[in-house]
Amino acid sequence: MSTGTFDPDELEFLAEDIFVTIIPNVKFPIFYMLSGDIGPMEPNIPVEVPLWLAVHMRQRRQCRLVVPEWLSLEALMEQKDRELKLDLFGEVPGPFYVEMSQIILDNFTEEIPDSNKIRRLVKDIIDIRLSKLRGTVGLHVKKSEMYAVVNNITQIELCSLRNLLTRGMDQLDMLKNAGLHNAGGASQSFSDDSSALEVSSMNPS
Amino acid sequence: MKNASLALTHGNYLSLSDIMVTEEKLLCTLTTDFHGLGYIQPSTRSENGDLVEGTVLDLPLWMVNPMKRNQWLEFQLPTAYQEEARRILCADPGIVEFRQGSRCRFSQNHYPLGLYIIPLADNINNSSLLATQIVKKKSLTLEEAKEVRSSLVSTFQLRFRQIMDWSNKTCHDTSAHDLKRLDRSERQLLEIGKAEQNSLISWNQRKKSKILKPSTAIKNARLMTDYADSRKRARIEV
Repeated sequence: MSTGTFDPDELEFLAEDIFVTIIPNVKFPIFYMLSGDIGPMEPNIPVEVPLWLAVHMRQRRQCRLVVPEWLSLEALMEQKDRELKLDLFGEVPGPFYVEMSQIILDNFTEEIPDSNKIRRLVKDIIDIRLSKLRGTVGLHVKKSEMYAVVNNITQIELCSLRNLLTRGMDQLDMLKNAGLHNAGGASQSFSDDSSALEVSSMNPS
Repeated sequence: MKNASLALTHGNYLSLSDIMVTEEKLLCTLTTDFHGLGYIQPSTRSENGDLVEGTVLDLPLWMVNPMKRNQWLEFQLPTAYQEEARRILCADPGIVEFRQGSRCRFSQNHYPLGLYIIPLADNINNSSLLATQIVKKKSLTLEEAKEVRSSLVSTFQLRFRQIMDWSNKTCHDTSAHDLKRLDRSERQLLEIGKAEQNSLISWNQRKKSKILKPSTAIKNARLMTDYADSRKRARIEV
């Protein structure tokens, strides 16, 4: 079901545009793409390609992936520890690290020996960060702060909460401003009503 | 839109949930005579069938709104917004059940109804001279309206965390009992939250990794439009 904003699937699609390094074992001339040229590829010479092309070539057994450094067991352990220690959100390897790890773990099983452990670590990190996010949001709504600054958060993490939070804040805002415009008297409450009608005609549901 | 929240439905003429809110009845006292309308409240009508000043009757919100604006009636604040109820909500908003039948008669439309009632408050300074002293005591003053508003805000703030936590649970384990406690707009928020959470979970578990072939997708789309066309034609022919 679509939630109206970015779905995890759509984010995965966007993540496939991130460049990774592969070692091809075939020869290709330059690919001329709209987003830029890729290649040329020579056997055993590392080359940077978008993730989708890496997956495509891997399925045809035409390349091997150089696994990104952040997807190793040690790096993820370190990240998990950091997340546990910090109250705020820690640095992440990239804007699409969750999606990328999912794609890489699905398609490049041979390159990653501890894929199960890594999968679990990534899940742990997301869970820690999501619980932090929920805590922050809960506090934010409770204390009715004007704004909140959140650094180092990625799209996929926002996915779990975005609509709920924005609609909830909308409702809170409506409750806070209830009757504010027409406290003066009857004539003003009239104009207030007409503006409400305009708004409703703009939002046919 | 299926998951419309209060922000989208409030004041929207075509929204069903908004219609249900404006159907809620308020206890009103008339401040004018209405000629020939005595049949609405047969017990108190005058000899010539008029609805007389001072009659007390239940009127739906959509009717109270314009009549209040014309100073034709005064209404009584529903019990769910009066001081006793406000104190209950202040003590622990989390356990209050927003449904008919509880002690203070909290309705399922607690927030939207409050949103409608608050602007109806009298400004004491320039309130009409028409209203009698007794009636004025009953009606909603600006100060009280402000208190109602702050009570609504704090109630929502404290209950929001609960909604968020429930939305985090997997689809089945929010029991019907929990749901009954929620205001209608809160339930809509819960559904939005659950939909998001579920889409993330099912992505993570690769439940919907099947990608349609373009040809199949086009075929499906065509079937849908054909179906809609045939229905339209059937309606016209009838």
